[in-house]
Amino acid sequence: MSLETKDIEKLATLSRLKFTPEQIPAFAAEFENILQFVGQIQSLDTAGVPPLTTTANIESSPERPDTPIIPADPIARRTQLMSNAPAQEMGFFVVPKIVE
Amino acid sequence: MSDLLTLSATEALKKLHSKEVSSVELTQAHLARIEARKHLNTYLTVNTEGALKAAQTADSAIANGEIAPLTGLPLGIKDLFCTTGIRTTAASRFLDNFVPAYESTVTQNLWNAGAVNLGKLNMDEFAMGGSGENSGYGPARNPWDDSRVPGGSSSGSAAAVADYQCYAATGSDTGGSIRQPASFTGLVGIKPTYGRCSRWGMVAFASSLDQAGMLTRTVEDAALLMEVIAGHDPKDSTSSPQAVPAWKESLGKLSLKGLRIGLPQEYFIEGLNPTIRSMIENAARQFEGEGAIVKPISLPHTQYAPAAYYIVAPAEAASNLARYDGIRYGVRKEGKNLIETYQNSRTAGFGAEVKRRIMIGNYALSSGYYDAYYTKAMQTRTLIAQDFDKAFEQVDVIFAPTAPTAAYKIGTNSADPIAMYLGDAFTIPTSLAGLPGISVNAGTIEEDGTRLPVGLQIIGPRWNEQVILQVAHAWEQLAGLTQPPFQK
Repeated sequence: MSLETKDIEKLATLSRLKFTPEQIPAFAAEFENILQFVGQIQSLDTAGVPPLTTTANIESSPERPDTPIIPADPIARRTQLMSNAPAQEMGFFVVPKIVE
Repeated sequence: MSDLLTLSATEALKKLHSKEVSSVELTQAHLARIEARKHLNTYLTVNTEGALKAAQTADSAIANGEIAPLTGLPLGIKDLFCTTGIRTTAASRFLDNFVPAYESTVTQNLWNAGAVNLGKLNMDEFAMGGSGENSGYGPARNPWDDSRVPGGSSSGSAAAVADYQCYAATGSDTGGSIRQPASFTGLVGIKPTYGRCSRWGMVAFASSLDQAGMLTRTVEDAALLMEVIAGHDPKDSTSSPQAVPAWKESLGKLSLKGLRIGLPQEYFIEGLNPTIRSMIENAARQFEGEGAIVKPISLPHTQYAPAAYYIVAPAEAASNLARYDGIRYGVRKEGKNLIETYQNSRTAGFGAEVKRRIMIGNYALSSGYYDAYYTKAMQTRTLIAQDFDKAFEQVDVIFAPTAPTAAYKIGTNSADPIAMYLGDAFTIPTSLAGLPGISVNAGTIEEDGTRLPVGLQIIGPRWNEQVILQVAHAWEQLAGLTQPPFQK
């Protein structure tokens, strides 16, 4: 299998990443090596084998009540949570304009 | 001062609670050690004021006779666990300024038991790596030889405990990130059964694999600390409601007569350092001398584990790391629209390995390749788990090397992702199957004139951390090994 520049670019966009044109050839070569490495499992016969998504016993897990937890001081809590935002205004996150 | 630092956690607690020594003294001794040993790059954030304050509180509590299991004990925390008001980066430049508004359950359990937080420890970025070299803040160094890696991803945790910069440290293990660094630094490193500890407040990497554990200098300390951090948490539905056994109490109570030890032939292969091979076989022989029964077993799908893991873990990582958008926290680099702002922020904040894994994960999850990669990998995971189920019908524990090599020089594998991935080949199968595993020092080998530790991995059946702790403890007694050297 051979990955083209446009394949890497598309995957990067889907991954919300960017690679410069100079980075792409080396990245593509490395990526193909990794795909070949993980592709070893293709030779394994897995017909009829169920997939294992988790080893947790989620069926036996107790549920907690579905009720909101109201902080004692909601405004202070909001300020604390917002304090990590790179850009904020009046308690809201600032984002680039998304409607014309 | 080194007399205080070289105590085990259990010994330090005894001295603390009998008022022979104060928590402030122990905390100050560790803070001075951290300062003096900065070149090992173990801590990303030192919690100087907070630690001293917590130590004073602990000393007053002890004076009032209010003693919890860990009151006054100074510990280090892998920078993957969110700590309220203390910067938590997961060693990613993306989270350089991130200060959590909440505490992880594992660390909260430690503070509730009275422990003191010395600070946050270096690691591979988002726990992706096996050497510590993928840290956004430079690699932590191995105290046995500072030109070598301490293993990873819990690199700072291992280096700090082995260098006497804390009595013990938390770690997290997704594919070997506690056991392999324990092996590289001569420590005890335990990853419990998946679901034993809450994952709440742990920066997520691969949610079906991530599990918290401890790095310590003795098995007794590991048992003590695991009892504190384990247990059900309503905030993590994958955490098990079953009671946490009295692990520490159980040590020394296992009869080795008739204990069935399995040696999986698939782990003793080419690529395994022959000296390490004979050390693991010798360990089994010593147990045989005590009446244990050692038998060869087969885990036939072992060779497929790294490939399956390097699909499953990146796929889960790609999904988990989608949250880093530069809007709510972390790095933000503006673009001409929202999507480009996401792209610029993530491109600036993530390191090369993190980007690589996000790309692999999204590739494996994309519609044309989903069945060929992701579904196939999860089916392979079933076969690997079944291998262990069958093996545990015949044996009580499995002995294996923790890693195929001892600690290597910084830079050895950093340009070759696949070589790095294969370093986890012996720890990954246990993680995929969700089983508990412990690495305990098996002795040292010599490389380029340097003595380097090597780990014995003991794997147990699901929910049976007790047996691996008991066997690891028995090994400590049989081998009579010394602690990591105290470097001046």
